[in-house]
Amino acid sequence: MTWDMATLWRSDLAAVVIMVGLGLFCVATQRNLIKVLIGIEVLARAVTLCLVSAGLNLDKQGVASALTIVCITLDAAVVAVALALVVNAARHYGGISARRLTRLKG
Amino acid sequence: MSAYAWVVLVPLAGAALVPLFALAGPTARYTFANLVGFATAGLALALVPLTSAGTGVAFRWLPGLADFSVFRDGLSLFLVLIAGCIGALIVLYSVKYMERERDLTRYYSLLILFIGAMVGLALTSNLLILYVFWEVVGLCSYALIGFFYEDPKAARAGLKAFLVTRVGDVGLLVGILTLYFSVEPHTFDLGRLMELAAQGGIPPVALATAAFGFLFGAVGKSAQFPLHVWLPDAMEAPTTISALIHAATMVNAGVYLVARTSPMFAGVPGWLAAVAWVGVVTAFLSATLALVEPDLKRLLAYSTISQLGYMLFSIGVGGVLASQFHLLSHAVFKALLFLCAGAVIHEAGTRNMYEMGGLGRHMRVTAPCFLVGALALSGVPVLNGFWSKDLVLSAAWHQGQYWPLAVAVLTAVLTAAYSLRAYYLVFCGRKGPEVHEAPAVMTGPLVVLAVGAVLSWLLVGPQSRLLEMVGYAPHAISALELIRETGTSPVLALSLGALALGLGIYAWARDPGARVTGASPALALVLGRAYGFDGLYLWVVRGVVRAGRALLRGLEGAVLDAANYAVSALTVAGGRAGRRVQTGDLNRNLVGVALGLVLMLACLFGIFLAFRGRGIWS
Repeated sequence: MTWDMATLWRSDLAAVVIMVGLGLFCVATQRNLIKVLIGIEVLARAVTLCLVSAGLNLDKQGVASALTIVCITLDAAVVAVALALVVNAARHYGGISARRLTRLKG
Repeated sequence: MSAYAWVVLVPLAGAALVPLFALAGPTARYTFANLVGFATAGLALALVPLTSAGTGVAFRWLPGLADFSVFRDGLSLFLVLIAGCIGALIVLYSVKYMERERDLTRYYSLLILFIGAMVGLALTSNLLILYVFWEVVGLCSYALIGFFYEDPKAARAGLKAFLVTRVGDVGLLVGILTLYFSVEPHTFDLGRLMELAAQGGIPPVALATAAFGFLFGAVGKSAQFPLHVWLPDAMEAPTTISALIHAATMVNAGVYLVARTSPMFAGVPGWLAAVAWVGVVTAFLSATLALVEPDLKRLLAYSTISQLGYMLFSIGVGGVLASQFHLLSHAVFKALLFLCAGAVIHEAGTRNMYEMGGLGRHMRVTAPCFLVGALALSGVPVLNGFWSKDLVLSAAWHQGQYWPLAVAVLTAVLTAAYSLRAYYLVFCGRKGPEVHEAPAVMTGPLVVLAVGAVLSWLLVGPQSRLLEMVGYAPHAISALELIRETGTSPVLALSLGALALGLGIYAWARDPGARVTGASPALALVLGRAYGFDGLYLWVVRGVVRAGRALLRGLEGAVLDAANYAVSALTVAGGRAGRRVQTGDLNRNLVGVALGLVLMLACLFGIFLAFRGRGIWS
């Protein structure tokens, strides 16, 4: 088995699948809002990895790099906003468990 | 051809513009209405020199399908003249008669539209346009009969007129469509259809269907047996409208249509006989009803039905000229009688003749005018009704149609009796209410029409010449020849004998109907219920309503409503079941998002598989 581009692509895809599975599992099972956020971040990293890997495989590294950087930058913003929401939710409901967030109207 | 277009467009546009002039006040409103009315009459008179045989296109409306093509012959001309001239007199009369009523914008607008629609109906040779005008006339009659719509009787009478004539209109529509589809290429042009029929280009079954359809339409419009029931009730209308319906518009339409199409349908087996018998039976039945009617206007309505019966009878025995001649005479003397009745009712404040009496001493103009009308209706010599009725009877005599002729003569006896009865009850006899003569603007048209009732028969010369030109009359006769023919014909004995018998009845009893019904309670019941037509129709209509209600309950309740309840129950149950999904739990929602994504991807993948290799990806 040689480490050619196709193999690399396949192993990267395997990693992506594993990371998506982990992320979803985390999102589906964790009650702690911070942990849910971490799960979302794992999903986002899986997407980033998918982009990089596709760029390598299709020989479009430039585009892939640009998209990856945009992705990371946006993700930072998303995390910032999400954390702010978590802080507010925690203040409002007195805790950071997702179970407290079941009412439609705060 | 433009005069033919203007004579229709002026009243139609005038009807639309009346509300605009009404903004400037009541005087501007009736002035404008009168201007339009007399302009229409003037334009109708301007058609006289243009009259010839054949048809022409006045203006193109729907090219090839419904051009406003017109008959330029005398048959249409006389109807247009009657509608235009008598219509104008009625608009003038309305100024005073209606001055205290509300909603006169609606009144004048519909009045003018009525006249315009009648003119269009009489002129057009296109069956589609004829049908449109036919319905506009029906609509105007409905709206004007129910003009005092706050009175439930008037509103009902309008509705009744609309619905009963609508029954006949179905027949007309069937007839028109049958003709349209039975020829190749399809055409609505009546002139062309009549040519085709003469050449045998229309299948006999289609022609027979159309013939009886047209007759049924005419029976509805001209208030003939068995669809006559709307006309007496239509007396709830203002008297001016009654005069218009009876003399100038509406009821003449049916007679005109049958006369117009009679050469075409004469070959249909039984059609002419049906026309004659419908006419003569109607004439007789309604004459008997007029003998017992206490309401002055309803009496006149029955007499109109009776005279229209004469006209149809005349067409049925081949006398189109006689029918049109009688139509002209009737239009004049019936307008006169109605406007006189209007003056009487206006002053006396009642329509019941038994509450009147002795009005002749106060109404020095109206009473003689009414007498002239009543004598013309009876067929007293030298008045127009005498000549035209005699012509009708002699048409039947020459055709050897003795049975219907006998009924027609009997009707003439009754006609004389009920005409004199009406005059006696209103104007003679015991002291009645104290009244004044109507103002000059109302008596003016009366005098004009009374003179017309004496002289209009002199028009027989031009009328017969014009009808002969298009084959509706066997030969032209001048007024002098009419006098000679009438004087030397055995029919004269019939009509004078009928008149003498009628006078004899009058001598025997001033109010023969009351005396007869007083002696025979059974007859009183039958006549009092007008032979039970209203009762029968009411019974049928109630049956239909009851069946409809049962159907409503059965279908609506058991099927449609049940289906709606099932749908709503299903929705509620679905909501109850589906509510469990909505926990609001963040984790479950996110799983839902993920599953949704998976579903979408699966769908995309499925589409990809389905269309792979068909070249839509590249």
